[in-house]
Amino acid sequence: MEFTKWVLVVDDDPIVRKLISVVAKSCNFEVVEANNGREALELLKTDYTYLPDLILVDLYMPEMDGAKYCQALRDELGYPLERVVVISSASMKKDRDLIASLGVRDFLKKPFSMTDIRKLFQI
Amino acid sequence: MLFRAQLLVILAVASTVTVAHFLGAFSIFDLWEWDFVLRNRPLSRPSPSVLIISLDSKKWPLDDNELIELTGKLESERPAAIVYTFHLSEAVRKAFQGRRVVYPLAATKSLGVASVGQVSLHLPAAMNLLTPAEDGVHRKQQVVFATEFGVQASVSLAALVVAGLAETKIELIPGKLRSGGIEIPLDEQMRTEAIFVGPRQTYPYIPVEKVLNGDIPEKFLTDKMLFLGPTNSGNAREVKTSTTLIDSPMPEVEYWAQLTGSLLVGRVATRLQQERLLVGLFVSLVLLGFLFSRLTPISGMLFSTLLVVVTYIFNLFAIEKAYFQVPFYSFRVGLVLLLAGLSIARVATVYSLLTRIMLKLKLRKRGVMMGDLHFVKNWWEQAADLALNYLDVEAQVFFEKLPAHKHMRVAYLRGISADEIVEKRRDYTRTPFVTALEIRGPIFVSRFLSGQRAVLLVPMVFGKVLLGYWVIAASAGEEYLKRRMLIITLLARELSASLFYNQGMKISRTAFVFSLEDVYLRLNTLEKLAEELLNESNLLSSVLNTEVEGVVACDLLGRVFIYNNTLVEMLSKAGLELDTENVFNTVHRLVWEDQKLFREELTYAVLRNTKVTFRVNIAEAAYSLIVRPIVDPESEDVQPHGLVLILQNIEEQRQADSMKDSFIHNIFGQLQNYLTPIVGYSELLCEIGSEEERQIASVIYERAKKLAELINRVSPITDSASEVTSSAQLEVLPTDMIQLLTQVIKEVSYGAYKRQIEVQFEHPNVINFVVCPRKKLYRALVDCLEFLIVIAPSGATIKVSLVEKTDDVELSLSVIDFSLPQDLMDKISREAGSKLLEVEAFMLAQGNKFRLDYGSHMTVQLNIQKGWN
Repeated sequence: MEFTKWVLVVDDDPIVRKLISVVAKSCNFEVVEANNGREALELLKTDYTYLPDLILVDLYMPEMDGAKYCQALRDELGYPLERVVVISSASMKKDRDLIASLGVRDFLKKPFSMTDIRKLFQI
Repeated sequence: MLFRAQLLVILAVASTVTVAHFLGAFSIFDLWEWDFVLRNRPLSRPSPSVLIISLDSKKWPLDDNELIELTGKLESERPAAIVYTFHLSEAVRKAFQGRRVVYPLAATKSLGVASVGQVSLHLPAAMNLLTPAEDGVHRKQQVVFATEFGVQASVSLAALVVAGLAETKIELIPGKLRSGGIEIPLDEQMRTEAIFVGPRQTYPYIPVEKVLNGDIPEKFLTDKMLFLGPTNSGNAREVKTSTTLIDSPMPEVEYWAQLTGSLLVGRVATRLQQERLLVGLFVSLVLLGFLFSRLTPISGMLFSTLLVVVTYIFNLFAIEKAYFQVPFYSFRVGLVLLLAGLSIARVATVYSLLTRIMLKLKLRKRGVMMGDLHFVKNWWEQAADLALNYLDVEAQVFFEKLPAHKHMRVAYLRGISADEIVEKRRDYTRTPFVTALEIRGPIFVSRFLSGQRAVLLVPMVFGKVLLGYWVIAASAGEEYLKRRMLIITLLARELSASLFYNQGMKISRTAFVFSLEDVYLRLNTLEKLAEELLNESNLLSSVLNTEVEGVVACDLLGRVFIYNNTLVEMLSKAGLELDTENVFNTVHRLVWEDQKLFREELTYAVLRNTKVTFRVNIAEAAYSLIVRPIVDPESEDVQPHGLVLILQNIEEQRQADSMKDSFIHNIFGQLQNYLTPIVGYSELLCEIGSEEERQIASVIYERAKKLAELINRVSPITDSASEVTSSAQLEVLPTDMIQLLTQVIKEVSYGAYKRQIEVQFEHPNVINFVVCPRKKLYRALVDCLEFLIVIAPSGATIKVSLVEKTDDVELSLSVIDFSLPQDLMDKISREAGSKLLEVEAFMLAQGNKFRLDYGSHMTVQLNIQKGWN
């Protein structure tokens, strides 16, 4: 029996979310989308059926950015950040340091290719 | 007073207990008694040779017959005597009748050998009943007494008593406790004729049954072991009881006990005088002397003297009267020891008195009169008031004496009313400096220094611990203090030389605790140094054509400061003023919190270096906020000038660069965001779209991809450039190249020394500063020089030359007495590894504001532009 795999895409850009969703579905992932970190956090808090196998999160978003979201995931939900991939166009050293300090699985720089995205779903 | 009374009581008790501990083995009443006996019944028979066997009656497991059998066995060991410390039954006494070695001593129940007094009353009785050995000659034998020291001292003393009577050499060795008994080392057994073992209470003893049956482990029992664990530890009551042998069924024993007890006292006193008594007295005197030295010199001296006299009389009485045959030399030795103890104990007091007298004489010689001594409860507060008072009343001179940091006395001239002081203090405007004065309290004001100078010693007190002093010597001191603008000057070179400029010496708070006398003795040095520093200031002022009115002082850590009109003027020329509050806050913070040296560059420049160095350090001080720009709040049109302008330009440029970099990064970030769906969807369409869609999407994809790559390529550059500039800008400082190179050469000096390479530094006397990232330049120069030291042949000379030109400063580092072909030099340079590569990277990162040229003959040449624009 094969279980359904879920991916949570957190990005304030709906086009990016859609793009990732298309690739995820092609890789047999069920997709849940959130507009920002707070919305994604509430989603996971209220419905555990969506406990994702992978979370793709943008670094800079309104209301709650990716870094705070990751910290909330870890501190409030105990979610393993090894399943989180940060997606961002940020390339400055301070951003790299911030992402490294979060302890997430990977960092995918925008713009990314389909190949890069597909690699993420090979879990 | 209450504290002092408590202290006295404690000391009295402690001294009594201490002395009694060492003297208490002899009851003075016993001595009286023995003395009486001695005088009425002089000693008429020689001391017998004796050994002791003491058995405990309570634990005695034998009946009379067994006891008789045991004593027979023990007698076969041929001891001179067997001493029992329990009451013998009539049957046993009869059985022992006519035998020479059995001596029942105690009539009381479970008496034991409880104290030396008890022993001295028991054992002599036995010994007086002894008959001489068969050959008529008293045996002199060596006895080892195995016991635990201090556990049952009476047993040890008993052995001493025996030794004293029998003239037997005796050694006390600690027995090694083992399961089942005491193990006597084999070597001790070999050289011992008899071994005494005890006491039972402290460890397992060997049951007598085993003795009788010969069932004692060999390692525990030898044929010389004659003493099986005695006795209970005595107490005062038992001792008292034991001395009442009047009820003894053997009255003759009582008589001889008393008589021989007198003999014993003499012997024991002599030996204990040598072995314990004097040591105890010595320690007691030293201890008490030091304790009492905390009070007052006179009272401590009187007490010690009294103690010595009493001890002398006591010993005289105890030894001379009790037993006149005691060798007198031991007493003289004891007396010498006592006097030595006294000397040591009182050395602090004597030294204090002497130095105080000397100080007083010197003060008088210099026209300073000391007033009456008064104990001041809040000494520092009073002293502070007096000092502040002194600021306005020049005639007042007061003096503080420090016998110890917890007990300070202030002596001052009469004529100052407390109300007057308080009133003046209220009027005093508080500043950080003055607050410090008030809190710490000036201790000493005088006119040690010549002319119009005055000296203030301000104690630095942390809790109740005196850490040291601020020594403030001011010329026309009251003027400075009134203006409260002073920061200070100087320090005795002898105190601070090793600490100056942080030459790696560890600094502890207590390292600078020195007495007032110490300070005074150094005042001459201070005075000379003050003159010297003022001369330097004058020299400096002559350069700047300004007047100097110097102030000299030192701080706690031994750093030298100079603050005078010259300094103010020079700062003013640079558009700066000294931030007095900041200076003191900094000093206090560093002194009290992390013990690091305060930035001494400022004063170092003034004292040691030239005008140029001074300017550089003023710039540093500006960055460290020790000095601050002068801003007139009433003037709207503030025109910064000089160095301040340069610094402000640097700051503005830094902010502009930062804004520019942030803007570029934001733009790039947005572009990348927009490109993400374009790249993604075009790529997706290339895969799943129709033929026409794939063609269009592929074009979009390629172009977007190129744009993304371009951004990716540019963005890190600006990012790293931002990092470089930001970090470099933080270090951009006006730099004195002479000083910088001096430090560089100093850093590599050890490496040069190891390779026997001499580094020469040639530079003009004065050179204008350059504005540059100093730390990075410093590191680059160190790398360059280290590189040359590595590649230069041993014994070569490296010449560091600095030449100032119109727009830049030309620096060359070369090995002057050794040359290589240009191509080889280039090769070495290329393969030099990280050293020169880092230098080159640094130069490139500075946007060609520096130029690095490799000349021939192993020369590294740098041209450093003066400005930063």
